[in-house]
Amino acid sequence: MSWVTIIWSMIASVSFTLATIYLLIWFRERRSWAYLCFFVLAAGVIGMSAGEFGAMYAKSPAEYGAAIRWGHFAYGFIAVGSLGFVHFYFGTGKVWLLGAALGLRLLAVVMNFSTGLNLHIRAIQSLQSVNFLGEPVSMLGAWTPNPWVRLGQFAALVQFVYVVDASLRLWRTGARESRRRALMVGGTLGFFILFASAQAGLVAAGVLRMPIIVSFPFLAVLLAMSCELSRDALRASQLGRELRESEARMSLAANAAGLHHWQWDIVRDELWATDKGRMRSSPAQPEPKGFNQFLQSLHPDDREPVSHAVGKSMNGDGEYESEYRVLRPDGSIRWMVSRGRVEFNGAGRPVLMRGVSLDITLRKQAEQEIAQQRNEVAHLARVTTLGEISGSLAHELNQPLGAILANTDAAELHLQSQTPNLDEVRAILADIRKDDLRAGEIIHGIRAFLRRRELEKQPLEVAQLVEEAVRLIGADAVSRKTSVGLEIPPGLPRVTGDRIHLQQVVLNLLVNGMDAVSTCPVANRRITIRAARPDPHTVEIAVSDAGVGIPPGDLHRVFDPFHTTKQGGLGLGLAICRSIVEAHGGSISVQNNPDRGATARFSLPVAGTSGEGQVADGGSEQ
Amino acid sequence: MTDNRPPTVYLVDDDASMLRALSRLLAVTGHAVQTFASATEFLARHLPTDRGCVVADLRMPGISGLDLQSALAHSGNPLPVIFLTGHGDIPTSVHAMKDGAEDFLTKPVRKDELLAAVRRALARDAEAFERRARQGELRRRFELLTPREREVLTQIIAGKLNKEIATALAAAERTIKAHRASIMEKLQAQSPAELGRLAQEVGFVSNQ
Repeated sequence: MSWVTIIWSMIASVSFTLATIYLLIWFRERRSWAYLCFFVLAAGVIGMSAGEFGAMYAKSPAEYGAAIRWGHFAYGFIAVGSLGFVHFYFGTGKVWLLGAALGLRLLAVVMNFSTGLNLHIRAIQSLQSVNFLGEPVSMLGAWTPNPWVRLGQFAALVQFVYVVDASLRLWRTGARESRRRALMVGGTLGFFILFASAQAGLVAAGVLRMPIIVSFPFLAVLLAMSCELSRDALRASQLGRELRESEARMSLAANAAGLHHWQWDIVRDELWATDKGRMRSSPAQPEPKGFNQFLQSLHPDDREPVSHAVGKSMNGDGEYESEYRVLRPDGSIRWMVSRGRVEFNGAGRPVLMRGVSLDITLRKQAEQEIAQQRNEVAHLARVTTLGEISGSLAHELNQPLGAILANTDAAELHLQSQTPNLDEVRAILADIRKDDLRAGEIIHGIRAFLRRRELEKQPLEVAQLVEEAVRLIGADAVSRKTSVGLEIPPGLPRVTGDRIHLQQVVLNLLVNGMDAVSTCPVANRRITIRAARPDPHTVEIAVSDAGVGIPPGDLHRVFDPFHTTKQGGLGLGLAICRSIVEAHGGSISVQNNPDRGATARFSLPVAGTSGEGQVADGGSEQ
Repeated sequence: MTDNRPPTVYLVDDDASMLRALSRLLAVTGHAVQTFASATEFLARHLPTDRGCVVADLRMPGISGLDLQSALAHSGNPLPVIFLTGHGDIPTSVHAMKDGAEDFLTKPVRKDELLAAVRRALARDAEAFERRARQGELRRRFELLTPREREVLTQIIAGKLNKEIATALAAAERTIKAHRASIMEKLQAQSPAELGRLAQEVGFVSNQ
């Protein structure tokens, strides 16, 4: 075995291996043309090495000439393959230069077949034997060069220019990876194009006394390209691994959070959801659902709003958001919140919608529990407040009751006389009825106040609300010698709220105000309730007292639960007030007045603006 | 000075219905009644010659029942006050009673209790009025005494005999006797003992 055989076989087999590998890869990913070009290049190198081998062992000038001719044909493949690779892999070369280079090379190949023995040699007179790598190989002895070789060399030059230009452009993009590619591939290719051309040219011109060894350099080019490609393959596999890991993590997180992705192909009406339970309502369903099927799986009350939200996003800016309940086949209900985005095609039509959904059942349950507890606490506070003013309420009731008794006694006595004054008796009876109804109203009011109830929002008149609260506290105010003044302008809009809960707030603030002035001299025991409309959507009610005020250090704490300066007080009053006011969409605050005392004010939304009455199952009054 | 006005029950309550009902009840039982919606109204119309009693609610806006009682007590004509209240309150009731309230009743009030209390109050007022009238009369009589007669009266009250008085005042016994007669006539007394009683009643203090 000679070295030549070994080396040239190696060149051919390595090229063959690489060619096979990348051809197979290209079959898998037909869009990556760089692989195909690589294959072409590798095929060319095989052909080239076969040609050179053939030339080295040529027995006659004709054989030699033919070998070189076919070798040059193979070079055409090398040219196409290498330049194509640069074009697809770099993406930066000038297309016209590419076209020119390829065109010229094609021309050279044609010339190769149609002039003389091959592109380099017109005729060979004799061969000679030369020692190459310890072996006698054939070489040109005496020959006539082919002038058309200039065409080939010019083509090579254009190839070189193209490659260098593309490489420089790639280099200038500055990315480290790109620069490495530019250097590796562009560098080796450019260099060896020149080298190949020069070597072949010099041998053909008789300056170099050695066989043409163009295939070897291009093997180097192949290897350089393969190195880059394999880097990419490795990178791809690494990315694939990272992606799988990332997906695994995200899937874990999503499952932990109850989050899943969904995708709706609008054109084909196929809705997919991705999580371990494939479909939202039935884990066993492998088929994608249509949009209507999805709607059917929702709570009947939520179908219209969700449909509306989807429609809005498809016709508008593409942003989708909704909250709804899903009815599971087992009858259970899950609350979901969903956000997504619509993708539009070039013509502006919606084609795809993607988003995430989150199971918020636990959160909703917690919210409901909180609302329930708040209602419980508010109820407790009402009972306590009523207990505090029960003495006054007893007085309120004893007035009509006392009047009824005295009236009854008087009527009885009237009827005992010989000529009873029946007109007077009639007047007495009318008064009795009135007082009875009055007592009934008071009791009714107390009962309503004491009942547990959820928020039942209705439009309310502010003046009426305040007056009712003041009435409840009236007797207490009298006994504590406190005057309560109302400054409520006429024409205030109605507010949306629960009458009893808001009464509780006003009552609480009044009681606080009365406590604040309890240590003042009687002349200063004044509480004023004012109402105003600071902006079109809000009504503000303020309860002011001329009392001792709140120590500035305590101002920020007054709404804290269990903060109290009263003997035996629970300190929940203001905390509950804030909870109620905020549940109505308003806000509450307390400030010291510039002159004396403090003012508590709270705001409520005007009826007809924000969140209107969601009627809970509060039940009827009776 | 006599007064022919019948004794009147003065009702004071801020609750109109209560006022009407009580007024009816008292009227049908034969009392003269006047009603007032507030203590201020009543005090504005109150006269020293008023006879009768007051029935007032304890808790009223503005001047309360207790304030009313206090004002009456300091006026020249302290009518008896009966308190009605719908709000049982022990400290207040004790306070009221100590200040001389006639009675303290809770609403709704039973007819018998109210009428009995009113009767007692009217009786007490009549008695007080009489006493005041008599005292006034007495005082007028005592004004008629001359200074000398006052001196003699002091001695008589001390139980001195005419002879002793004459010695003490450096006057003739006869003169003393004449003074004694004059005193008895002016004061319309029958005996020295009665003189003493009258002097005590009117709060006579000797000039010595």
